[in-house]
Amino acid sequence: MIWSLAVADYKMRDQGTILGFLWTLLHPLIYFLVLYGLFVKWMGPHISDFPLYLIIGFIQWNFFASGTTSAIMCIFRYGNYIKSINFPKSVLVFSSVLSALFIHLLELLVLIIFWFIIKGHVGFKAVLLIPLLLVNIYLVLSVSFILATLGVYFMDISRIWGIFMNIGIFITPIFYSMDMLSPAKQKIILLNPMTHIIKATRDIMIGNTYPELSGLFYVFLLSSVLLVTGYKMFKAKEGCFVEKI
Amino acid sequence: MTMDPVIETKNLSKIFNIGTRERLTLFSDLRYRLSGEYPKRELRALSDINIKVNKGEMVAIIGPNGAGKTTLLRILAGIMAHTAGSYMVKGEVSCVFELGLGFNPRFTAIENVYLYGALHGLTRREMDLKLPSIINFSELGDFMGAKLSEFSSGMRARLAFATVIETLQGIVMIDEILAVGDVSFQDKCAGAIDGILEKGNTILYITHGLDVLRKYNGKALYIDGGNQIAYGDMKEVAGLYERDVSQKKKDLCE
Repeated sequence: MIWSLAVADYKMRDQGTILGFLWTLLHPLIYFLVLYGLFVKWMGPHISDFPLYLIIGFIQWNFFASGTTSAIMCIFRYGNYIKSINFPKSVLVFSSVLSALFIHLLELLVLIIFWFIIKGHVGFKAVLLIPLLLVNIYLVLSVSFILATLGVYFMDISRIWGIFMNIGIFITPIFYSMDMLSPAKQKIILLNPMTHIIKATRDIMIGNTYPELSGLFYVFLLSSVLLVTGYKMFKAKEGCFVEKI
Repeated sequence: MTMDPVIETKNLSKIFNIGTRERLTLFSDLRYRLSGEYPKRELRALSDINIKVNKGEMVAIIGPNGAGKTTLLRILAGIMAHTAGSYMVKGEVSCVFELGLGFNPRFTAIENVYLYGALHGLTRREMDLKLPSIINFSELGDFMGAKLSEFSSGMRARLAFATVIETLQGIVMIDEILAVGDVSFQDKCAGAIDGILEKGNTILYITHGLDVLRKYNGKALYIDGGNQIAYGDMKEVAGLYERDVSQKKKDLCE
């Protein structure tokens, strides 16, 4: 069921536009070009492989932002299903994340092609991208459950989360490098789980080294805590969703 | 008919808190929490419903609008939580609360049928097997490849109904959706319902159409204002309901 909903959701987003499929890929590309054009003079000399550095940050962030944002309204979007069929509502959260994952996978494909073009070869370490992806999904899922539950009860979660996502772009080293900041600020940036995921991706693709496990472990731990909390919250309130829609 | 209860309720009640039906903002929620009280206004949707339904029985649920019929069905189907009392439902439940649920006008008829199946927990393989009979029943064979937005509303209803009929299993709960289509289609639908009963399925059916009641032998539950007015033989309870209805009409005219 999760699969059908996600597929239907994806088809709906792109139906009606001839370039539907291409727009999905065009979006990160356009963003990248703008950011690159703006920052290349400034960051280019300081950061090796700036184009790749930038596009990695952007694509990973995009998945987190869009995955979590679509989760906020996922219960409402399928309000008419909830009112008429008995099914575990968690399906809706999974399907929302899956939908965002489809797009992310396409973007990753573009990224890998990019990687190949820039670096000339794709090392065996590329395989590490798979467990990294799983950790990423785990993170998005854990936050999504919390947001989905809150989204049913509070009108302004969308706004508030939107603001968080806007700020997030700046407190994640997407278009700058961490060592440009003071140590104190770096500590704050390191609290951000996406920092670690992006850093790990860059380690694999640019540095051709193994990513730091401590950072990823932190993400895993954080996600686990969030997931347990979020899922419990979700399940507890699940029965009352019907009345709120 | 064997006395094998598949549905049983004991003092089943449901209270809605309409005070907080509106979604709050985080700010107003904080305000309420600090002041210690949330706005509260209760709506007694159901009060002490006690019924017992045996396997294979047809139970009509009748009553004026807003009586609580839909609420009751949704609680029994597991869609909504109850507030007091208890209920037992043994076996799988198929709900028919909205015709064409999940149907997406941008997709083709066939895609929608499969989507419906997926929503109701049927695998693609199971739907493959059911597809021919669905197409047959709906008499929409030539149009199955077309987008649903190109269908007339009648055609959509026929497709929806055919899909529903073929995918029903276990206890069937229907919320007044059979009044669509032309006469011949209506006959087909009635025949399909008969078929379901013959297979031994139990049916709970919310309806305003009293002629439907006359056709079948079964029980009827008469609800008004959340209260159980009568539960028993269909013809008796239907008669009671009719008397009340005409009484109300007379009161209105005076």
